[in-house]
Amino acid sequence: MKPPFKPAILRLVVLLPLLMAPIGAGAQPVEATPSESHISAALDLLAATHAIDTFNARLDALVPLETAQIKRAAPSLNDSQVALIEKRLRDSLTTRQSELLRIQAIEYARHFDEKELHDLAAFYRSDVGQKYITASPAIAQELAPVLQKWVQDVVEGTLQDLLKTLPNTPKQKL
Amino acid sequence: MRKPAIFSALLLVFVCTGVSAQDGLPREPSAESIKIAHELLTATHAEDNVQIGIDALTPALVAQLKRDKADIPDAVIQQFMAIFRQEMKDSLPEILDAQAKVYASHYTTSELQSLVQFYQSDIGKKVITETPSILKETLALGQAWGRSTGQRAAQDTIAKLRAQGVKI
Repeated sequence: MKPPFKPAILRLVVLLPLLMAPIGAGAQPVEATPSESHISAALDLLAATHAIDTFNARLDALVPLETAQIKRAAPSLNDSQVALIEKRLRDSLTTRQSELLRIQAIEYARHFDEKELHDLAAFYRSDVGQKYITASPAIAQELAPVLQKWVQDVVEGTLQDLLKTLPNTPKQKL
Repeated sequence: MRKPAIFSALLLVFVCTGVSAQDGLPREPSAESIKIAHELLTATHAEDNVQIGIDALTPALVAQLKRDKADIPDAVIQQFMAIFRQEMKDSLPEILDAQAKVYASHYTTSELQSLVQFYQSDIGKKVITETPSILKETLALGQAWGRSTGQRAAQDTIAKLRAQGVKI
């Protein structure tokens, strides 16, 4: 029998890849199966970019969403039971972080050679590189409403202008 | 009209291009800083990324329009999308200016210059141009990992709760 809150878990799962995208990297096959030293270089890059911190921060953001969904899907559960489910999910994902990092490292290693990975790690460990990593969330947060308003204004303006020019179409604001 | 959740998709494009924030910098950046921030946006292909974001947004926007107003003819939607794309394109300089100001308010001139230098280097260019591919690949792998890990944990927990007599 499927767990009643499976959709919530799957939604979480869909969002999980976002945990894996702290920095950009490229797509140029270097070797089909990277060597261990190559993967180690990629893991070092992920360490330099604080990939674990990014993972944890995004997991923290998802937890409240997950709680709400579990409560809706299984209203008979009390708070401590919901908390237990959440804790187990979180613990399971957290204890297996190294698997996710390795998956990500292999992808980086497939697209960057070892020297490039070392160069990237060096950049992200520099003062400006560290600032780039640690401060990105704040700038994204600041840009969010600007971008949202921009898109929304264009969508609404375009739609209203278009509807005014068309006969027999709804003219009310959508 | 509901605010589409797809705004977040566009936002991610900007996040992935990423630049950052620091306290203690003037909120009104100098013209010099803004100019260098524009160079950074150019070096990071910010305009292309916005275009990619718009393209990614389009199908969801069409779906949303059809959900909100099923009686809108397809021809009107197509017309809307054509105008929408053009309007977005025309207003790109405006949003890039806004982005540049945000970046310039969070980085010193020297930091911006260092970032431009990095993104104009061979390795920096490679990071920028190949980012979409690696994100796409890690997305699929991450989904598989998350699905497997999450489902296993959920099923284990449910079994334990049921063993304790909890109806779930």
